[in-house]
Amino acid sequence: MSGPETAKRLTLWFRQWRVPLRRFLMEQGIVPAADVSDVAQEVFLRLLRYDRAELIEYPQAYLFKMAANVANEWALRARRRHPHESEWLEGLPAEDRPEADIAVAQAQAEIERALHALSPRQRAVLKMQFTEGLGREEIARRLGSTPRVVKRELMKSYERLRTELSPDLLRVISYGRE
Amino acid sequence: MDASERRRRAGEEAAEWWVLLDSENGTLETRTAFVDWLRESALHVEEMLRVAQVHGALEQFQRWADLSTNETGMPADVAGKVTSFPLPPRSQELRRRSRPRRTWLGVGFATAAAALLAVWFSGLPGSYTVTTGQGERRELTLADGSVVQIDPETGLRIRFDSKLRRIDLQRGRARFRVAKNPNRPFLVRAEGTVVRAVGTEFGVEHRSQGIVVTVAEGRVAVMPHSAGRFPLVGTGAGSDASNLPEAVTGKAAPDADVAKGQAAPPVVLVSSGQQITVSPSGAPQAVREVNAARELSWAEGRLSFENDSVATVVETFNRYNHLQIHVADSTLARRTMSGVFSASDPESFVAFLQSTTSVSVERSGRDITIASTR
Repeated sequence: MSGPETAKRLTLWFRQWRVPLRRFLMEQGIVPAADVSDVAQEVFLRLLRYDRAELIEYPQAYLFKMAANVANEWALRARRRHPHESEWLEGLPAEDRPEADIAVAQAQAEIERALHALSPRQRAVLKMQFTEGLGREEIARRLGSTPRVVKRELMKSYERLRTELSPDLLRVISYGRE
Repeated sequence: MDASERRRRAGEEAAEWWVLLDSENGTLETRTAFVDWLRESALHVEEMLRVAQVHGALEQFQRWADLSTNETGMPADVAGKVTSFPLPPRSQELRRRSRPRRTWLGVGFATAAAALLAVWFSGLPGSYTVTTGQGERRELTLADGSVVQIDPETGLRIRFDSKLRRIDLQRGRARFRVAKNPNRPFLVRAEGTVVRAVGTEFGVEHRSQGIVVTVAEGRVAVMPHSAGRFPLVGTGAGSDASNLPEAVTGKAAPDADVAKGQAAPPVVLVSSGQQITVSPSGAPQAVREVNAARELSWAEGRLSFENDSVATVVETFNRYNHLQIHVADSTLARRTMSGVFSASDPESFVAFLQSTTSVSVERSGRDITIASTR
């Protein structure tokens, strides 16, 4: 798996789903009403309706494209449906809100704290991946370990961070809906 | 397997899929398995989106450079709390698993750190509502660090601002571990009764005999319905948390009222190990001494009964489980019993009944019908 052809294919594939992923992350960030659970429900239904063979080609690309679309539609609908009881809409973090800045700073502190719930080695793996963009093999080499172990550390880290950072909160918290 | 258990499993699997597919597109076989897994359940989709959010958070993280990767670099205030729960051993296997999972309590360590989203939202005005369904329990860490354990079939509305932390318990019950902040009182309202705490641990329940407040630690001030002079009650407030006492909380701290004697509306102080019931008419009954740990054991998934009717016990179990028990005759329904059970184990209750009374048990799918045999 290391010829230039393969590398090119991988790059293409990578971009193919990282763009939708980024879009999804942005959409869900600006739309508090679209709590993940409801978005997920809708995405799930779309996945069921969609052609399975096509999904299998680029699963993540389709998944995040759908999620981004649903989150976006959700926001539009919510805005139309609740034009008057829009207390929470006004509260949406606009670019220049100082509260939003504080929230961002607090979020940074939260992520940092959550990272400290990981083992030092897991932190080291993540740090290398996110700051230097290293692959598992390179990370393994530096740690004197194997790619397999690195992969396991990554799985554990993501799972742990998932519970550390959001146990149900996004699902639980829904603004302006009863 | 209950809802939180399914969620945890889905979360683990999602994390594994993420890493598996993160750096390479995977073989056709892997991708097929992934798509089928996604199409198996909305929960899988949801957990996958959550893992994506974790990834997003890591991409947004700006302090990697300062992040220590050795043991000693851990901030002291974080270390004890978050790392004291060991991760379970994990299998390599992605799908079929049989080993025991973390229990519901395991969620606790996570929620201790779960404030991230709460923090994000804390910048926003407005309230939010939390509802749990049948058999569903939740533990939430609020933006201020307080922890709420929410029982099944409970609805509560949370509204924090710079002066007050307000919770409207619309139905069901919840246990609160309040983070200390004397300048920002923590108020829980159920019907017309308002419970005020500064830093303490207590439970508030809707029961048939009224609103029941049990204090496990510290002290709370209970303002019953009949406190007509309180601006917070008698306003036909409905269930809107925004009707909670603005005036009260700002100036008239209940403690101060009590110190002044009768000048203020009735406030009952309830301390650790005590319980008070406020009847539906708003009349507070006498404060009584209780075993608070036992009284609040439902928050830990334990159900304790003392001379309760079988009907009550069954109703309670049914709220916690998808498996539903039906009592076929009124003689059995009226029988009283005592005992402590695990909420997620109705079978042990049925077995207990069988061992103490002559009952017939009939099963069909998710239903169990019990009847006394004559």
